[in-house]
Amino acid sequence: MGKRTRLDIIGDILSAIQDKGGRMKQTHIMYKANLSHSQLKSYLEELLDKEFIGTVKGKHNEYIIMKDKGYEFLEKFRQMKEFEKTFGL
Amino acid sequence: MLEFGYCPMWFRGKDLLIDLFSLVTLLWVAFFGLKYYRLTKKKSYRSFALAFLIIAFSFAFKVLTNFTIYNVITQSRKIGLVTVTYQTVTQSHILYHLGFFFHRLLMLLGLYLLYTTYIRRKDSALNVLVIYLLVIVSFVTSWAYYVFHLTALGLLLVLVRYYYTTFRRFRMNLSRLVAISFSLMAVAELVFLAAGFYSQLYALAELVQLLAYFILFSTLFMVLAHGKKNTAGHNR
Repeated sequence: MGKRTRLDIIGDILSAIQDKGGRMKQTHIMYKANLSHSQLKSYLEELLDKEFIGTVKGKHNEYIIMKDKGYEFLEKFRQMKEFEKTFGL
Repeated sequence: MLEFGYCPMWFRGKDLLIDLFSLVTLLWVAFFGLKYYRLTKKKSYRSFALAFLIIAFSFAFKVLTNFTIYNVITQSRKIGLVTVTYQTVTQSHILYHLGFFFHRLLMLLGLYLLYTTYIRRKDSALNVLVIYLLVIVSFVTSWAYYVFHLTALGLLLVLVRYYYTTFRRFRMNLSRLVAISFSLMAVAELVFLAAGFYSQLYALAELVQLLAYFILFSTLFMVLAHGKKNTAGHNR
């Protein structure tokens, strides 16, 4: 498998959150998306900036939640991946 | 009587609709290729989209030329004045040769660009040589039309081989559909070749082409629906 692009990593982060019902702890995202803490921080900042995700406070932890723009992006990303595989690009 | 093309009279107009459908399908594929290029900046998306766009332009030339020949020229002949008819026939000769020259040239260039998308050729000198040869082929085929269909068939067969390899690698139904679609395009070229000897076969070639582009259209539709389904399956 080739090196993941920035877009692939964003796709992995958003997919991980979506798989958990749209709400996930930061540490879990880190393991699921296979990223270091500093890498994850940089990606999350970007995603927060673009309003793909948001944060909510739980009883003990802070959670990352997926926003509508995040779902829209994930839809486009998956279509693109399907397109890429279908046409062998 | 001066004859243009190989389309039998009873099929005239219907072939325009088939070519228009092919043109729309190609533009649709090119649109998504460009959209994903803007998102990823991957060169393969750029040349893929460009290849489909060039082939779409090739069909645009074919449709415009045939439309003019079927509607304007045929009607002008009914006027019956010798000078008008003479001028129309002379002009239509130029239009026919020019229109179909660009159709052939763009079709071959588009198919070659699609081929280079997959082999990721870096040798620009060889590319220039191949493009030169394609221009020659497009020019020469004004008199020997079968050379064009034979060249297009060759390029399509290479692409079919690539798409079947992709299908075997991913085992995806959608990539199999792309392989089938391009196989049918190759079959259509074979039938176009035979249409030079028996013009009724032109209609069959167009119908095979319609089936090929319908499969390509459906494949893209399914690709987009698949991405939507995967995301919609989760609660927002």
